[in-house]
Amino acid sequence: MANRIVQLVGIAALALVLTMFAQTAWADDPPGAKLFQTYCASCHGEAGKGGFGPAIGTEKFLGGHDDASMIKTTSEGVAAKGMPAWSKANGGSLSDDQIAEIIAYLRSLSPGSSSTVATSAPTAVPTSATAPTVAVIVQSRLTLAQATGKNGAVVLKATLTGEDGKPIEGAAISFSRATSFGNLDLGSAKTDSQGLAALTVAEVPSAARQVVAAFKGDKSSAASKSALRLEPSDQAVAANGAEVNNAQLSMDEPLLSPDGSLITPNPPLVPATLFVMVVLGVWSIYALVVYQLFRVRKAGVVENKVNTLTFRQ
Amino acid sequence: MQRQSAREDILFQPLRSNSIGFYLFCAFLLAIIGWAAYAYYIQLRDGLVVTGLRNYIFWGIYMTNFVFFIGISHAGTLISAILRVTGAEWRRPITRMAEAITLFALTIGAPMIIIDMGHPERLPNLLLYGRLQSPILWDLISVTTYIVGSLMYLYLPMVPDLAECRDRLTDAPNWKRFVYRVLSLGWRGNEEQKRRLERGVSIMAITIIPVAVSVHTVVSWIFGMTLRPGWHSTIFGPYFVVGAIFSGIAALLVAMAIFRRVYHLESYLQEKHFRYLGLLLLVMDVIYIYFTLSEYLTMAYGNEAADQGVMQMLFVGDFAPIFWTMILGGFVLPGLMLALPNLVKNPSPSSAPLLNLRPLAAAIALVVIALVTTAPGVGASADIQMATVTPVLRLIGIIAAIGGVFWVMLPFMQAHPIGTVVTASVLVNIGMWLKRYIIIVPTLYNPLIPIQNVPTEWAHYTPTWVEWSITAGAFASFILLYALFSKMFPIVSIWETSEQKPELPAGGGTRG
Ligand code: HEC
Repeated sequence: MANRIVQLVGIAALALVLTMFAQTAWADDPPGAKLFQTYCASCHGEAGKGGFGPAIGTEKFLGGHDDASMIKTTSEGVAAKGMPAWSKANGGSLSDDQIAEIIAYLRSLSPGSSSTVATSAPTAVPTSATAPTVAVIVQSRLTLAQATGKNGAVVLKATLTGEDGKPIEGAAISFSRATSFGNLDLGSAKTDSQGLAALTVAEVPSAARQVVAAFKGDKSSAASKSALRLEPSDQAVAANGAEVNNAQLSMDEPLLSPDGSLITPNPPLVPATLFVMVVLGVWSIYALVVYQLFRVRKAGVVENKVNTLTFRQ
Repeated sequence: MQRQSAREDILFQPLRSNSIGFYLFCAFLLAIIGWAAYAYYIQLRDGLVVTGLRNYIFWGIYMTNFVFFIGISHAGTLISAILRVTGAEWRRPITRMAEAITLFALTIGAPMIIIDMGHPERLPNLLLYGRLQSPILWDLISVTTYIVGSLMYLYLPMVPDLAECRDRLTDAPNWKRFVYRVLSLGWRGNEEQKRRLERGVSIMAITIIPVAVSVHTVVSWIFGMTLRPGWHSTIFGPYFVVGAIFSGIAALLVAMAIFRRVYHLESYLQEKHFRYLGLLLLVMDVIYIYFTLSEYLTMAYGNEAADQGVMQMLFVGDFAPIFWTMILGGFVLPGLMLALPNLVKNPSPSSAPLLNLRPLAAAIALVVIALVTTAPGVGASADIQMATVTPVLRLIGIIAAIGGVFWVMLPFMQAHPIGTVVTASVLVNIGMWLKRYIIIVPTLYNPLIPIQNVPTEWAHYTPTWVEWSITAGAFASFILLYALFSKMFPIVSIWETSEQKPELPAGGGTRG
């Protein structure tokens, strides 16, 4: 009984380890999904739900962009805004086929959207699902510039305008620093009548930093975002004794290797195989010991029978 | 033969009858456990906000308990397996106790992880979406392997004793006899059975050693594989393993002392057992101090920006009281208690006049301690370079005071060797619990991304009553399980201790 249970537990645990291994190592996703997960999700979020980069997996986005334009952006990038160029022709690491696979995957996230939209007009294109509820939302435009304030502090100036070029007043703009491990909040400011929101950052970076201003959008204007490369300054670091703990511009990026040994979507096969073999080895030894117990029991039973027989005689 | 049985009767005594004191003790433990269950209900209902854990300091005393219990679980493996493999005869009466500690420490320690989770129902996700490249999954696998292995390792050498119980305790309640009958696997002690069992025991004794080492190494890797200051260290594996063995021996010594007293096992657990284990504890203590020095000196010497924050907090900042209590009270003091009575000879009569000064020395020592610990001038602002001499004076004062106390206590300690070893063990266990706390929390105070956009109190961690209650409950459950085990099965291996003969006994029918 007891050894049966131990055996069962052992087998169950083994099966578990095996399925887990199979799942992680040989998962059966479409090729584009894996590529997207590896190369794009860090900025565009899981399934393109958005993050540092815009949400490109949503129905709203896909409804308004055709494959050709998406492939073009992906291949060539938007250098000024922090979107890398991916095609081999532009110095990236993806082949044209791979890019096409990624776009096909994105398209599959929103099957209803057509892959050839005639216009990629900035106004929200009504899609079948969202049409009835969408009010007239005007596209907004955000620009970000750098100026120098007192003591050499950095002043970030974001200007928000509507589609028609008119400034939008009273909108909250949040500023952050984009890093490879997430956005560090720098603070926020409201736009004035000129559509200008300014934020003074007390410290000056010693190396170039990526800064982002973002407008969440409101009832009448759509969200927008703008990035800027802050150039380093000679009088680096903490201008007027800003707390070191909050030093978010001067803080260095962690030194992760670019293709990230820490960011592995699947376990490396050889070490994983070794690992599983060791675990299986230990459990086989357990099985061997349980077998010994089984034999102990059997030997006892046999002897009992023998005893009874002699007794009868 | 007859005399032998009388000695063994002592071992069966706890299995035969329960005193009223035992029931009261269980009721007391159950009350604590009930209270902890209530606290956990509150935590499930309201979420982790009822604890002191927040976004940045997300591990606290739950994790401390986890590492602590996994640590003392090494008692069984090391003492029992290593001593068995190396054929140390004196291990015989203590192996069972040690193995039971292992099993119960694991049964209590492993679930601490689940208690630490805000959404325990998401635990299956660890398996469903587990990443084989994550140390968390390694931990899950190795702890599972270890629990199963130590259960088997506890059970195997118990089979002949279970047969003994089956044959002797014929007046036990039916359910108990049923358990003995099933678990003893029809043991008759014939040649075939002995051979099989012996093979099983030796295979397990050898297998369980690397498994145990791997478990604590993997626990350390959960910390070490991150890039965080104070955790990202190559010696963490061996450091944790040594720490585990260290606290495991200490836990075993405490358990031995309690069983010896309560179950009258003086004839089994003799002074020499405490002395040998005490020396083993001393060795581990010294190795652990060496590791600790090596770890912190390397960090402090390099003085990297990220490490600085942690070092500062430990040496002079928020955690300094705990840190120094642990170093001095948990490692140095027990070390001296274990070493000095062996090193210093009994004072000769000629030094009698000097001995009369003992009370005076004690008083002076206490005054010095009081003075140095209340001396102003050392606060969070002092830096690691020890810019002022105050800390140095303080250190000298403390050392002098400890020396004084020892001079006073020495004859007493020599007169009570067991008491001394056990007291040292208690101190070690407290020290090791604090050590785990000190490993986990200060690093979380110093995240790589600055703590931002959260209420200031989130940057600090203070355990709440919920956490303390659950911790108390965990310890109470451990003790309860252990006590119940000792009521159900002989806590000292009968066949292994009978006349200290290594042979497996012939079972039931042939005896008497
Ligand atoms: C370093 C972060 C980053 C990564 C990695 C990244 N992107 Fe982008 N991407 C951006 C940013 C920022 C923008 C917005 C550019 C702009 O404002 O014009 C963007 C824009 C885009 C756009 C155009 C969106 C629009 O509004 O027209 C597409 C399409 C796109 N990315 C696809 C991809 C694909 C496919 C990948 C993976 C191969 C990828 N991106 C990887 C940052 C990134």
